[in-house]
Amino acid sequence: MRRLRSVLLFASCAAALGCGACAVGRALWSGPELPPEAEQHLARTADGWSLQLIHYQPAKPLRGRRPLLLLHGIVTNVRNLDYDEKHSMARAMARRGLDSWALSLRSTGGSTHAGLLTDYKYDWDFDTYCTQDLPAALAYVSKQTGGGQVDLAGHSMGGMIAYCLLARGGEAAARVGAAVTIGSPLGFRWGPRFTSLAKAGARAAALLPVVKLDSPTLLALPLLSWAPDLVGLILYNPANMDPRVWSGFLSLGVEDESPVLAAQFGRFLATDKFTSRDGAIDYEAALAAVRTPVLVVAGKVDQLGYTPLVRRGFDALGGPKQWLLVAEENGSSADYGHMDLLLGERADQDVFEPVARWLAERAK
Amino acid sequence: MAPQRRAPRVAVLALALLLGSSSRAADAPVTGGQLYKTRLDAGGAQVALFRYAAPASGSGPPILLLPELGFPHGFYDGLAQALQRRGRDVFVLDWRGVGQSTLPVRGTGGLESLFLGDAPAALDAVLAATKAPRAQLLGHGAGGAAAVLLAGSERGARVGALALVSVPVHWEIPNEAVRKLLTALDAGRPPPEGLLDLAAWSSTPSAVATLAPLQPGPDLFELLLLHGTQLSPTRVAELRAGLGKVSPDLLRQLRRWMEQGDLVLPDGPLARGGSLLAAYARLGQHLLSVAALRDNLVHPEHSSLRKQAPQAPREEIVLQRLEGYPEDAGHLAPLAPWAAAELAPKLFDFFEAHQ
Repeated sequence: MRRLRSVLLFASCAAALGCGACAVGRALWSGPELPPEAEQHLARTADGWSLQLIHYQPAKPLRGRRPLLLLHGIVTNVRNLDYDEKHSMARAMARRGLDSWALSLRSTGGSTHAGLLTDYKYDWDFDTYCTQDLPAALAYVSKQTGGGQVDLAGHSMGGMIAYCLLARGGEAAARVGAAVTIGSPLGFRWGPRFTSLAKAGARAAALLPVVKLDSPTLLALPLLSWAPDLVGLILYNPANMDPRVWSGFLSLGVEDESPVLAAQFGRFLATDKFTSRDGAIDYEAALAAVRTPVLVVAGKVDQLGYTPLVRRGFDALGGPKQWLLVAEENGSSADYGHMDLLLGERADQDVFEPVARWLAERAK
Repeated sequence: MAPQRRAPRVAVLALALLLGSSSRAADAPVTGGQLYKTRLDAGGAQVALFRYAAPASGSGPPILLLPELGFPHGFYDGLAQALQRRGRDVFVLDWRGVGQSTLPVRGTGGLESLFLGDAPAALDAVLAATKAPRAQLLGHGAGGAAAVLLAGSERGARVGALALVSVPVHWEIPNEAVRKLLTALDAGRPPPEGLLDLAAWSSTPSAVATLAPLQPGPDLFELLLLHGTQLSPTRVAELRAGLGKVSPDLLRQLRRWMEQGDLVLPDGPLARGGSLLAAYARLGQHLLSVAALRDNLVHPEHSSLRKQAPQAPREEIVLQRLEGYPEDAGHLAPLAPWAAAELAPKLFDFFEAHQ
């Protein structure tokens, strides 16, 4: 009995310390609030989720241009697309005259499940994003902007969701005027060491009730601030990222994830095939029939979006399509990694500007 | 005379030259741990072949290293010696126009002369000198395409495993710097002596727009070759000075290769012509594909094997920090100071496993 009490006491203390450390982490490394001009919208999915959309109206809208919907990647939220004035694809596109919308996928950012006060199961897979969340957001943005087509840009898994939507075709895909994928792999064979690590990670994550990343990241923030290069090895090119922006982003932009999604990624990794969860649809093969214009953006030193894997998406597309490698050799200020494609110090010039230019050309 | 009928005579000549004209102890038996040089008649040029002789305890088939275009054998000393120390006979070729090989005579400086002349002559000479049934091939950059063409040709039965470092599979013009360079070369007059000096070429500004206009941008050597690889200034100067000469025809062929995504060659002095992608498709040998993350000349996405070589059992490695290498490497990775300690063991293990 005494032993049980000790264990309970220890667990309570550890939990209190953990909560305290999380609060300190969030307070010390917290990122900026969204500006007043950021409009908050909610798009409803057919299965009861309310998805947060942040909308920036352009000060000087360009005539005849489609609105742009932005999609973030795995285990993050809309703040990946909209961190602060300098590091925001959403605001950069609005500055360039585009009606800009950024989505938080289910359970991330301000997205909640309607009708439930607190709890929900983390039971969605990758297909859910492209059959529920993205179609709901596209329909909402289209309705809000006059019912026409919407352009789409997705980073990392956000680009994979865009590929999935286009590959599946139908009404939702027809809503897309042009699409941009940024650092989005369509193959799952990196170098042997990283491939093994990714497989092991996906297998382990699939066994959990929820892939818990938010609080552990907050707890680890002080360590990450001391040794940013350890993280940079995988997630960004340190030469390209302000460590304060990275820490601030981690305090706002990391989310828990569904183990069912992890299991589907585990299958992608095991088979090196980009398919629906039941294996019935080969998304990569189906992209050959896609005729929506797509710009495929890759970062030269992106470890997650390793260029041969991003290139697979480009090669699979039916066209029209264009390839953009963000690299010094093409005149960028640096070779780009994964997260700096959105949060890099000069991403506005090196990434957002060519993306905006390409979208403008598609609108002609 | 058809190339395949001429081949045996050239092989005999090559063997005679190998046995008779080594720079070290020409008539003496080969001594382990030493370096020997010989010259081969490859049709239109005398090419130099260097043998890093295996120590007495050596075992396993010989390795023929086919360098990047314009790179002399000395660039690969570190890598070749590391394989030699592990017990292998390693042969490295100087392409015609490079290092101690002679300049090509008029009209014999195209890729077909190198890949279907110099390379098969070297392979025949290696097999004759070592009396081995097969050789293993190690190719770097565009030179690796010669390895694939050899392995996919009638000589393929004499080729064991292949290791390809930054070798194009479906090459494209990698960047604006290369595009501008090739366009300028195409539009320009051929130089008086008929060959382009890559050493002089290497210091040409890369013409890549820089965001800091007051700072000079990288020159072509820095942008296309050095990028991603830390080398001492002395070593960089040595490499720049050591680059060889190539014919304008060869550069035009490189351009066509990048624009068409395949290299299609006419018959060469010692082997039949054909398509590189077709040669990849015929490969049945074990393949090791090595990509360098920051390679600005042969991007990883251009050297990655996917649907090509469907019958060849393959392994792939990426030279990047995430995989445990000292740097996110570039095109000069095999020349890097760490190549002997980090890359050579991987190559050796692969060659040992697939004898």
